[in-house]
Amino acid sequence: MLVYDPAAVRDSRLLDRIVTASRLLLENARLRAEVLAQLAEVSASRARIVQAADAERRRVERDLHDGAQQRLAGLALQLSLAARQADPTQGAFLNDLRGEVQTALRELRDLARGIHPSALDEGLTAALETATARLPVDVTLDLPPLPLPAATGLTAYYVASEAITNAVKYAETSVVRVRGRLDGDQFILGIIDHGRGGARPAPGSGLAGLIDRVNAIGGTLRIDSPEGRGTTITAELPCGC
Amino acid sequence: MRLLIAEDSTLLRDGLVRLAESAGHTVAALATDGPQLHRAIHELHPPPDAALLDIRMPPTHTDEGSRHALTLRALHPDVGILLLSQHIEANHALRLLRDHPHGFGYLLKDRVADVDDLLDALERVAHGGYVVDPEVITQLLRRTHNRDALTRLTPREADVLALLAEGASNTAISTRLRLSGKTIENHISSIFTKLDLTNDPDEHRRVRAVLLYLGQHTNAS
Repeated sequence: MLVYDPAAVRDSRLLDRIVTASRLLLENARLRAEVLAQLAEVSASRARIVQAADAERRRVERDLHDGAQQRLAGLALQLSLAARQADPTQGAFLNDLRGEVQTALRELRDLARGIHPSALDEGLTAALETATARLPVDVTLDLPPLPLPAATGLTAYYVASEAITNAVKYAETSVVRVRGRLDGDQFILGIIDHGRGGARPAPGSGLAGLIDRVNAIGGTLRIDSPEGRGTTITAELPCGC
Repeated sequence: MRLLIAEDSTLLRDGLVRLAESAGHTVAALATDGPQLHRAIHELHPPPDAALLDIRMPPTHTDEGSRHALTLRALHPDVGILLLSQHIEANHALRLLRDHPHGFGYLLKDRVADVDDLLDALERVAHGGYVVDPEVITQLLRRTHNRDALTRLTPREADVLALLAEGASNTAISTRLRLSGKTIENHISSIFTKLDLTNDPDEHRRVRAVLLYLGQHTNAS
């Protein structure tokens, strides 16, 4: 703020110093405004990058589904039919091949889900149910039945999947709870286990990647994991709901 | 049986036709996309005994098969309908189930290579029964509400319930579990009592009751 003191104007050296200080203040204010504008643009562009990447992944998953997965399902069927019409030795061999194709199909399905969970179209609960169906832990899902906007739902899915995967790998627990609720214009997601604790977002780790992703859409991620006392991962995600 | 088959993937479609013909069925009509399926449904006379439909087909690759299944059901209530899905969408399957009071099946495409199971499923829906992919049942049984309810059942009863939910007849259950028909009947009575369901003498309606029970606490909108 500039305060105009008439007495100061009469002393020309003082006046010089006042003018210099004013110029510096103005320059400072201008620079700060510039930096804020740049930060806003970087934030927006980060969000755009994540969105573009997600759209691309969706496309890849769709291509996998329509192409390779269909082909393999058809191939498995043709092998079954050929096995039925062959002599026992050949038939056994063809059935083995069929088994291999079915395994490839399952692996491809898992891979595709990692790229983009198409079950998310049915809701977050459906997507997480499918993702956790074969895990050796009990996953309880307590989520609101409302549809979430695409970016929120996708981020929530990745946070929950990664947290659950970590719990399976490191927590030494048999139960993982996933709870979600809406709070104003935010979706609060918590993944809780009572296992070993001690989870840290090491650089390059899945957890670190999650933090980046959550931040990119303007949310926050907290990891509470005291040694020996279980792990709670909390994500607050903006949700235009 | 006379069949209507709709599937856009060439290799799979060809396999389904060969599978049907190898079992002595006739493929009365073949469709490769939504519009073709629509035409086949309206133009096929007499109507087929059963229809084997891929859920996702051109042009939108979303739910052509399910939507046209409803049209088919409206025109010819007695046609058995077997839908093939690439993914387990348990809630979608349950919604479809509500639209089809009998003669309906939902199988994963993974299952098509199990030729005997697929032929058996076609037979069952053609005769008014239900067929639900075991993977879908597994997912339903893992839902919290259902897990709690199942603690009231003995392990044996839980096995019977799972098979019942897949649409198996009493005979099939008794063969699978190697128990007498009478024992199975007793287990089913006990299950229905414990889950507070009315035990319907009609096997198809019993399956439907079990499926609707398992799906009642769906978490989707």
